[in-house]
Formats: sequence, C-alpha cells, structure tokens
Amino acid sequence: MLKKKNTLKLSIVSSLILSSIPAFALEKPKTMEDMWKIIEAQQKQIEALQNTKSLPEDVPVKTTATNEVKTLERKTDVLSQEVEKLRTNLAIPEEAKYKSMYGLGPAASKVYQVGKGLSIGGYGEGSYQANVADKGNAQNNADLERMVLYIGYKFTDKILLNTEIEYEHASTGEGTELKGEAEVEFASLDFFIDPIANVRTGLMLMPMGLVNRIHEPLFYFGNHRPEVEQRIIPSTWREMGAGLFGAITPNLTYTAYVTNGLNGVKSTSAGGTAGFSSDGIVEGRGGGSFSAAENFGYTARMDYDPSFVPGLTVGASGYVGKSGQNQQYLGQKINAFTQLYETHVQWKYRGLEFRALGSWGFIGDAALLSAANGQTIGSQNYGYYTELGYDILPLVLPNTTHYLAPFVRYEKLDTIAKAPNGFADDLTKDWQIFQVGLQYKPISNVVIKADYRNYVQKQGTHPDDFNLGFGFIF
Amino acid sequence: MTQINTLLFLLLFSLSSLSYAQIFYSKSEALELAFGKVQLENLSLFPEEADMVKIQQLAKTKLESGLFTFYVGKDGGKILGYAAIESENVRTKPETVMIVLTPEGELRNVYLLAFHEPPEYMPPERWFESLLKHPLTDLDFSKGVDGISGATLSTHSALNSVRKVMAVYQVMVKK
Repeated sequence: MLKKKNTLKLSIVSSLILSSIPAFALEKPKTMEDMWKIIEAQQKQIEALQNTKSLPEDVPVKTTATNEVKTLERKTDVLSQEVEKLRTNLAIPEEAKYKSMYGLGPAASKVYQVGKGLSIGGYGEGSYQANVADKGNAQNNADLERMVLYIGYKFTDKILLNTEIEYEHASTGEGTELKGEAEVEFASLDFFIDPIANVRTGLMLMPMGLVNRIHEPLFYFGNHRPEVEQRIIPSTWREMGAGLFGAITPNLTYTAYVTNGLNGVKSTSAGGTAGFSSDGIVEGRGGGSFSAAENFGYTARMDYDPSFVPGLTVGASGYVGKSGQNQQYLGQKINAFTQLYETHVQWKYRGLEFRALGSWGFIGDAALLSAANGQTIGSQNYGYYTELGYDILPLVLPNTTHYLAPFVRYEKLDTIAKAPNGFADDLTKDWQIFQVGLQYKPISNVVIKADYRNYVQKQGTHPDDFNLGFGFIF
Repeated sequence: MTQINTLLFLLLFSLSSLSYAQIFYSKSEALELAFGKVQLENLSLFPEEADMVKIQQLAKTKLESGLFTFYVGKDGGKILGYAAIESENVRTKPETVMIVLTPEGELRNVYLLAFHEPPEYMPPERWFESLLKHPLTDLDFSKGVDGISGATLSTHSALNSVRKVMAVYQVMVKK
C-alpha cells in the first residue's frame, strides 16, 4: 500500500497556496511535540494541494508546484527522522560510542537521561470483608489495605535506587482509632555488574516464597495473600543487608543476601519488638527500624525455568541465622538458631495458572524463647498451599483483551507443628483453608477480585469470609 | 568479624567491577544486527483515522502516535525486511525492543535493546524466540504465547509492541 508515498505522489498540482510555504522547518525544533506539530502542518498543506488538483492545467505553475511539493516532502522526511531519533534516544543511544560513556559523565547521557532519572509508580488494593460464618466477635469491614508509591532513581545505567513507600489501612490513626502504618517497604541500591553477578544493598525484600518478592495485587489470587505466605513465610518481610543476584545460565537465577537476623525475643520495654509468638516468626522481623544486628541472617534462593516446559518455574530458598540477638533470659543466653526453608513450583500455560508452595521452619531454644515470651513458640512449623486458576474469557470471546479467571486454593499450616518440652500445643494454630474466587482484569493493570474462604481449625472456630475488592498498579 | 568481612568483600567487589547491563544495543548496533551492514531507509507512515482504528483492533493495544517509522533494510533494490523500535513502560521504567519483520510481514526477530526495571523481571531470550513465526492472531497469552512467572508485566509490554508493529505492517505496508 505504502500510503504515504502514494499520497505525496498524487499531490502534483498547482496553486497560489504554495506561495505561503512556511519556513519553520529551517530551525530545528527543540522537542518531539514541536516537531510533530510541524509535520502535521506540512501534511495539511500537502492535503490542501491535493484538493486543488482539479484546477486548469498551467504548465509553469505546475512545475513550481511540483518543486514545492518535493521540498515539502523532503522536509517531512527529515522531520520524521528527527522525531524517530528523539523518540528512540529516550530509551537507547544512537551510537555504541555513546553507550559506553554512560555513567562516566553527564554529557554523553544528556539526551538519554531526559525524563528517565526519576520514576514514580505504585499500586494499591482495598476490599470489603464480610464474615459469613463462625462470625464470633469479628466485624465486617471495608479497608484500603495498601496504597503504595514506588519511587526509583537511576543515577547511572549501572546504579539504580528502588524504593517502596507504603501506607497500610489508609491512616496512621488518631486517638483510639484503629491504626495503620506508614513504612518504607524497601529501599535498595542495585549495582549492575554482569548478568551473572549484580549487587544489591539497603532495605531489601527477603527472597523467600512467591508473594514476598512480587506482592502487587495483580499477581496473586484472592483479596488477601495466602496465609502460608504471611504466617510461615512472613510478608512483607524485609531486612537491612547486602547481597548478590543474577543468572548463572539464562534459565537458572539466584539471589543470596546477608542481612540483620530476626529478633525472636519479646522486648520488655514499651514499643519494643514483639518477637516470635505462637502465631509464628512474623513479629521477629526487623524491617529496617533500629533492627537488632548482633546476629546476621543468611538467605539464598534459586529458580529454574526449564526450556522443555514453557512457562514452568521451580525453585527453593532457605534462611538461617540466630534470632537471640545476644539476649538472655534468666541468665541463660538465647541463641534461637532459626531455619526456614521453602520450595515452590509455578506454571503458566496459555490461560492456566498453577502454584504450589511448601515451607518448613525450625527454631532452636524454643523452650527458652517460650518462657521468655510467655507463650508457646513452636520448635517446628510448616505450611503449604496449592492453587489453580484459568482465564476462561477467551473461550467465550476469542478476541478479548479482558481476563476472567475462576480459581481454587487449598492451604494447610500449623505455626506450632511441634511444641517444645514443657509447653502445650495450641491447636487453634493448626489451620486448613478452602478458598474459591474470581479474578477479573479489564486491562492488565487493574483487577477486581471476589473470593470466599472457609477456615477449619483443629480446635475452636475462625470466621469464614467473603471478600470483594480491587487492586491496581501504575 | 567474619560477617563484616563478608559485607566488605561484597561492597568492594561491586565497586571494582561495574559494567553496563541495562542497555544491550545502541540503535546502530541493533539495526546492524537485524540486517547486517546494508543500506537503511526510514519509511515514515501517517495512518489516517480509519487506519488507526484497524491497527488498534488488530494490535489490541493503543497506537499512541499518528507517525510510525519502519527501518527498511535493503540490499540493492531488494527489501530484506522491516524493523521498528518500540518502548513501553513495564512498571515505572521502560523496556525497549526491536521487532524485525520479513518482507512478507512475518515475525523474524525480537531483540531486547534495553531494560530498565530490575533484571529479575526481564523476560528470558527464549521467550522472545518463542514468539517468532507466529501469525498476529496467535500472539496472545490465551493462544500461542506462554506466560513467564515473575515477568508478567514485561512480557505483556513486549507482546503489545510486537502486535502493534505487525498490525501497522498489515494495514499500512502489506500489498
């Protein structure tokens, strides 16, 4: 078709209009917008010339017109090329020699850096929760669970800052209101060295499980994160430290961090650390707020994407470290050597999404910790879940870009899988959860969610709930 | 002390061996990769309103501009293929790909030129390869394209770019 060329060739005509050809293309416009305005104006002139082609033949005028149209055509081509150059220069350099200079001085990266130093994004999620059975004292509620701002800054092509600043439950509260939190979820500097080994330091998301690292609401089923990935593997779990990450082969990636360790001991001072509890290790997180660093924690993770099964990822991670933080109870030093391991598999194939994850934890000195914290802390804990969803919309509307996936999830967890000697198990911490729901995405950045969770405890009851909510990322 | 030594080692290691991992090709390198050292021509296209509607229907994504540029690789008078460079924001930062079509409009190559999100979110090369030779109608996550765990948004962005380029070719260039 080559419509543009045809359009221009057809425009061999006469006319008085030609006397008014502007000279604005002589000076190079400063921005893409300026240039685009000029191109549009030129296109209009060419169209105007076309419309006058029925005028009587007049050879001298026609010749002038042909020349002028050629001039216009040339100017349009030059400007189009300039626009393309500006557009692509925002993302990649024109020549390799400029690429190699990035990071060494501002001059070479001047054009490239336009608008790319600071970046802002974010996500949010909120839901209505109705307790539909075994309600007890639980209240139905509507909650803006998270509103998060991502702020990134690219200092150079090799040094990048990523931060996530989060408001939970919409407020830090006033008076006796329920209080949310404002917190830095992560703030880490990435140093890009080589695909095999890059360095990250700062307040970092711990690379364990599926949800902790990628926890935007678009990427997990249901209004609430799986309980296993909140109580057995804490989320959002972040600590101060440094580490390496990279790809050993294109299919095999790894992450390894050294961070401050967990703090398992309940503080006696007001506002101090809650430490480990019968609900698990979640309150032992440091979170970058004067985190105890007498003991360090060591975390490693590997993921493998086999080429022979497209869309499949299998992986595992582990955390080890003392959680005593050089503290004592009744004159006895608490080591509380803590281990947490998990393995996961994830498969996306066409509209199918499948996940399974299992996690096991071991806590040393559990009896001493239980005595210090005044509750039973399991010397072992575990949890696993599996879920399956399928985007059914293309089956009904083949050309749709919308997404509608029903899903099911089953979870089993026990934060006191083994009680230490001298302490009783708490069977209300042994849960099974059966969940079904629907996930609808009108575009890939927005999700509407509905789900129902049925909780079964080994002892006592837990409210079953229906949740209706939304999430977005930008 | 051992722990502090480990941290110091990591930091020293990082500062001593920095290189460039986010921009993989400059424009000139990319175009040479696509066609070799041959004559290149810019083909500027100005889709009209009706064309834009058709392109957007085929691409299932918005065409942001009324100007679209193909780089046409030529050997003498013979067209070797059409290339286009497209950037889309993944989360907050862009992913830039070059899409190369054969003279008949078949998807020949997709090259990742730059990726500014953390590398964990980067689609692997084999995912780009898995797109090749699929017709436009099959380039959909519910049809011929596999998702990548952990790279959902980046694969969506790349697929949108590929579909857009193929749709522009079909509406504006295909004879």
